[in-house]
Amino acid sequence: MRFKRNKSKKSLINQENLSIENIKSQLNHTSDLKDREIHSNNQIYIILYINSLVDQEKLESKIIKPLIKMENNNILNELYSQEISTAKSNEIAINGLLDGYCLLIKKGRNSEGFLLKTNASTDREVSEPIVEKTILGAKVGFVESLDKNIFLLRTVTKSPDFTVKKYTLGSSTTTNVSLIYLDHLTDPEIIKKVEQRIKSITLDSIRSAGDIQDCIEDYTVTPFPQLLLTERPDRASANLKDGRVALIIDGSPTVIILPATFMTFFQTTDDYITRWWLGSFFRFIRLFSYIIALILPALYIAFVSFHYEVIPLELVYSLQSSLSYVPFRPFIELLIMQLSLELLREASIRLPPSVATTFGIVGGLVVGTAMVEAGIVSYGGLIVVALTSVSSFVQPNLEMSSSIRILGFPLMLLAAIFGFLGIVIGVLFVLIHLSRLTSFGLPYFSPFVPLNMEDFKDTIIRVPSWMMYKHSKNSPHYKQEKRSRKWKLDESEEPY
Amino acid sequence: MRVKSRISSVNLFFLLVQTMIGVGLLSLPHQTHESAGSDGWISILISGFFIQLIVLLIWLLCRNFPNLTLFDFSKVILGEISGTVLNFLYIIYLLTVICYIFIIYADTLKRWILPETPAWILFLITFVLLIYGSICNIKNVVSLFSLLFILILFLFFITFLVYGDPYIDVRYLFPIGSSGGWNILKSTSDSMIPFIGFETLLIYFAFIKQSKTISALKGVFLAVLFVTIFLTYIVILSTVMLSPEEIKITPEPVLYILSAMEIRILSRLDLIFLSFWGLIVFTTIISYTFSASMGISKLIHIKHKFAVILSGTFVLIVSIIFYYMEITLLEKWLKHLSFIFGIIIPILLLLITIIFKREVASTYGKK
Amino acid sequence: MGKNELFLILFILPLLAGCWDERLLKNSRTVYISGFDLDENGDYQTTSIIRDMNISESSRGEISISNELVTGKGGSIKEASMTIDQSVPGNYDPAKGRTLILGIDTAKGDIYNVLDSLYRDPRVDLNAKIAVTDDSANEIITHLSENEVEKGEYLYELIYSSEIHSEIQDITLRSIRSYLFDEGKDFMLPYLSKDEEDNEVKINGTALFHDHSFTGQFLSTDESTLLLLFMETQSKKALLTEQLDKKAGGSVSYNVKSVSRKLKLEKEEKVHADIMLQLDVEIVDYPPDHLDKQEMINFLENRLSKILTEKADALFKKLAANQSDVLGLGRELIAFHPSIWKEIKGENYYEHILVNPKVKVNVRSSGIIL
Repeated sequence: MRFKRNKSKKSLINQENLSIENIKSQLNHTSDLKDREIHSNNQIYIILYINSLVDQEKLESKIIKPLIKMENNNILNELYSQEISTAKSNEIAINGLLDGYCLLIKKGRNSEGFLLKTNASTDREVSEPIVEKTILGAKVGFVESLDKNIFLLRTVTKSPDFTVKKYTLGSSTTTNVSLIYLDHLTDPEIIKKVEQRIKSITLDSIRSAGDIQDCIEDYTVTPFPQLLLTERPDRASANLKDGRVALIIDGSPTVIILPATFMTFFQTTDDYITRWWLGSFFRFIRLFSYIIALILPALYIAFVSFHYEVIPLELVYSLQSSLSYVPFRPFIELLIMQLSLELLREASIRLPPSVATTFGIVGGLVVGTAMVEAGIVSYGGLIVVALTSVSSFVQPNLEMSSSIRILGFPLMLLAAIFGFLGIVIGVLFVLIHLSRLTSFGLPYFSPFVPLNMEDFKDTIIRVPSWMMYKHSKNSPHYKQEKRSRKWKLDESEEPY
Repeated sequence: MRVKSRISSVNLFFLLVQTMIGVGLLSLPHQTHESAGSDGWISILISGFFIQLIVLLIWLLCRNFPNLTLFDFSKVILGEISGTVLNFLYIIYLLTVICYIFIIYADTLKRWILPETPAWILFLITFVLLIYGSICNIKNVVSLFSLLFILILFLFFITFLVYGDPYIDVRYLFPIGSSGGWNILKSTSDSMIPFIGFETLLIYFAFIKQSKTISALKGVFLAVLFVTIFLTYIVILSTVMLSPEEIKITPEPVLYILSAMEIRILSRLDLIFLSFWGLIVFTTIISYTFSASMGISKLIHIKHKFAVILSGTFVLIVSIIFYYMEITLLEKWLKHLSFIFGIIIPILLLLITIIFKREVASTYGKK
Repeated sequence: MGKNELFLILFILPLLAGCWDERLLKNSRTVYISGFDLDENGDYQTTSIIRDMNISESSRGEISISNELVTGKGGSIKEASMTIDQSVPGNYDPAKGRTLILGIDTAKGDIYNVLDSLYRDPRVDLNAKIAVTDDSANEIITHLSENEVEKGEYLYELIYSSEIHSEIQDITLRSIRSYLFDEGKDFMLPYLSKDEEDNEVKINGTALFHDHSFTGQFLSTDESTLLLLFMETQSKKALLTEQLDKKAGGSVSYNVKSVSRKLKLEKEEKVHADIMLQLDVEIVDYPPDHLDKQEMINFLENRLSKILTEKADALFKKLAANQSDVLGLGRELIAFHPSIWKEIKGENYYEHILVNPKVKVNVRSSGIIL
């Protein structure tokens, strides 16, 4: 059914006739496509533009104002626009609109329109987001204005299928929320679900992205986030191209991406910029560090207080020698250390960056060594806690790394009661839980549950981009021609 | 009532493998050695083949009643009253199996890693896991099982480490057939216990998409084949590693072998093996509880959730009682029970169906 | 979903009873060597070294090691270790013991009596090495704790390196049980003695066992290397040196690269075991050199084959005298000749077996000179 619609779209584009209705439907009636009728000089002009892409100022002063004041019908001479071209087909017109041009059509003479350059300049004040830093990615972050954010997203995602739907939420104070997706790639089921859930929000007021997240996520009693929050337009755009949906909230630089699966939180923009070996390697490191951060403290407790016969003899002696001064049980020991680390972490967020460095040294190094020497924690415990927190910092997503903290303590407790068996029980709980979670109807722990080999291509590893040509679960229509490296065949030399 | 969810043949493979591989794994080489000596692996192979036949019979029975579980078609075959009685017996049987697993599990853990921990704590924690793991739909069960299938492969991998050991003596397998054909055949009835789990097919066949076609059977055959090979492998491994008299005094030969293994940073691989084995036992428990609760909820018309809690509580109480009274009693019963409920009753049901030409009654036909 | 109840249970559990099986590492007194002796009254005496590592408070990071020698007596091994536990602070934990020493009296009795309690404990390190001493185990361990404080796992390393050089059979606590329970196999253990001159503990050879007890006879390291070759269980290195007569140039040392054994068992009035052993060797020390000449090689091969065959003859006579079936011929009979086994089986089956060894040496390489 969907493919039929796409086909009919294609035929429309080829139509010669320029029609506003056609253009609108081809742009999926996206809500930032505006039109305005202007009566001037006995003529009715219609201006069509994409709100988020044009410079309002330019449009008003250079197009609309002269148009109204116009005395003769020679448009080309009256309007102050850098570039004017005629658009004779829908296709040209749409491309122009997406580039930030506005389309001027004389009513009655639909076959001809003018494309006038009114695009907003890109040098708006945008800065790189602090939380999601990348090495090579774009240094652009979302800002607090809804329109600007749509603009930022549109500039990196040019497509007639880019669809915006606006909602106004909140019953006492209102907030504008935009739902954005690429119509040809996104599963209509998901769009339907998202719309339904957004419409059902009856909060008094929307304070932040968190409010919406609370209302629309599948499960609230879980440490695992099911929505991806990002401040990066390139990341949001990449996710749109994967068939996901973005939610932009007015007044918040945080954009919600959904549906997010477990592995989504381990992907970063850098993975796709660096070569695929490196990208895959980093992804593997992140997954590995997640597991380490989750179970290393528990393992330490299990080994030191239950099964020290597992540790090699040499290590037993050195662990024992530093442990013998610690009056607490390993569980309490790690708990003290973890809690003081949480304190340090929380304290350093509020501090200005210049002080934070000093604070880190004083807090981390001095307190750490002093604690060991005072016999509050052992060397082994200190190493474990340090490794754990370093591993949790490796996580690219803040919410995912906080799930480690939530799950880590129960695991430690279980390890303190049952030793190694406790860890296994805890991990089984987590696995059962993970295998049941869904995010907007999609299995959360995909591609592991259910096992889907095709999805492994962009989860644990990242294969080269030309190899990702089959569609995956969340974008059933994604299809890429696999000819990007066909030149290799043509260029290959015979061995003889 | 017809079941609504559908699973594929591959899913059935995972379901069956996880249900069958379970608690018997650890003591299997010891048990087969008791009855068949060094030819234990032959008897495992034979009973594996035998199970394939039984599975075929179960399929022949179930294909007459597409999308109906045992708890539904038993009434069609035997009539309302005797069908209900049979269902009740089956539920009791399934619950007994869970009790047996509970007891063996707690006992093994207590002997190998947690000697001081009171048994009721272990029962309680297993109980909690059982409740949490079984309150779900069949899709969740399947997805969990397919995820944990990796662990079975991992167990395979761990046993590979044993081959570094210089004391492997292939001569322990010889002379093949020394215990005599009759003894081997007799011991096949003993080696049925590790295979129990196939009788859950009476229920799971209802979920299969096209139960009439032979492709439904493919997953099942492969599952039984896989289990047979896995168990044979474990038996051969233990036979080769330990001398014949030694196996007789070692109840868990696999663990004993692994506890001597040492990889660079970890000694006592048995701890790891035991933990992963624990997870696999849980899948067996979840599978049985799921089936039993399904029967309970059909029998007394309550929600699946409450049926799980009911069966969990029953199992908890019964297994604690048995644990403190007489551990070996259940095993003796189970040997006969699994024979009756896994083989004899399905065959009888099949015969009745064929002779009296029982078909899906009109009450089910139209729904 | 029952989640709340679940979390409740999880959090109440530890409050209820605490941790039953907790054995804190810091409280444990880890043993790294144990020895077992049998006194005249039939009581067992266990001697252990407990090792402590102390980070001294004054100078940071400096680690000092101290050994504590403990002994205990009891009617059984378990009782003896209970006596020790009462006398040391913390938990006496023999689980990590890497080396076990059997005094000569214990070894001459049924050694399974000593080992049984170890096999019942799941935490015992089954990779521990076992050795027999020519004196009491107490003597050796006392000596070790006084003289080898800084040497770490002296004895373990000693045994391990001898195994690497194919001087003794690679036997651990786990594998010894297989032999003890195998009616068709015997084994040999490293034979320790204290060298009075050097004041050091040394491996003197291997102690031959029959069934569960030490025969009293021991093999020299050379003999046991040869025996290991016959068993095809030599390690990567198996270095042998033979004295040739003066004319042939003194002595030759060679390393056995690979072994192939052909075993033929035939029943006549006795069971004849013809063993044909082919050794591929690398010459590592032979001053006369000139190994490029075929006749030189042939000469060496013939001489070595002859010497080794003679040695093997003597070796198997020794084994036969002590009825120690280290070669595992009994198992071979059980597996492949069950009919013969039926006739001779019994505790002293080895006296029905006549071994006829033959060794053929092939020189395969000679290092980087000829």
